[in-house]
Amino acid sequence: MRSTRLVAPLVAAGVIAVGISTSTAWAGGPGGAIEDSNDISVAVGTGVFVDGLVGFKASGATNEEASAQVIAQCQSAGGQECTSDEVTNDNLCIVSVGDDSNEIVAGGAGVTVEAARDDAFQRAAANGTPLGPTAAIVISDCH
Amino acid sequence: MTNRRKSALLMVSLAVVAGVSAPAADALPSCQDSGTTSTCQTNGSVSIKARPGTVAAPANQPVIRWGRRR
Repeated sequence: MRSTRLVAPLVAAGVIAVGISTSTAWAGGPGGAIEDSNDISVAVGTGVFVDGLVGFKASGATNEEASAQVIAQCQSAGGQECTSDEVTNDNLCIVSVGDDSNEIVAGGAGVTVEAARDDAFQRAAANGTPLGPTAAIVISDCH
Repeated sequence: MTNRRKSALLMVSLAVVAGVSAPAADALPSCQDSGTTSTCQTNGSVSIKARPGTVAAPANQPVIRWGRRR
């Protein structure tokens, strides 16, 4: 009887804790990396600076908005030839890959950063402007 | 039930609750779980970016200015 009295409050506390945590999770939970829960699109882009290529990342409610944001960030930082190289609203990794030897920059997407990098190489080759072996990831993000 | 057992039960309960709630809180929204966007889209591009060239003359060579005679 005594043990029943002791266990009952514990069980009640556990049920309440589960209820609170579950309702928080269903509501979307705290924001995490993206502050605005309406921002489901992410874009990565690059700009030319004196020291070389610099990567930028931005989010938005739509792909167009995220792309515009990443270009605006680059331009406000003083970059030239700012571009949005890859944008997605899907559960994917996106990258900007730059090649110092031929000044080509390509965007790519994939389930991993490595797959996204391969996609960038394939896209650049299909465009007739292949990336060289020294091309490197300037910026990446996994959604 | 001893205090030690109660403490252990409480710790286990909290650990289970944290494990259940943590992954959902870290999940980011995307087109696949958003009710407002029905289409998943991914777009990329390729560009050629010319670096800004340096045009300053070497320091040990005189600069020839055209049209200025003394």
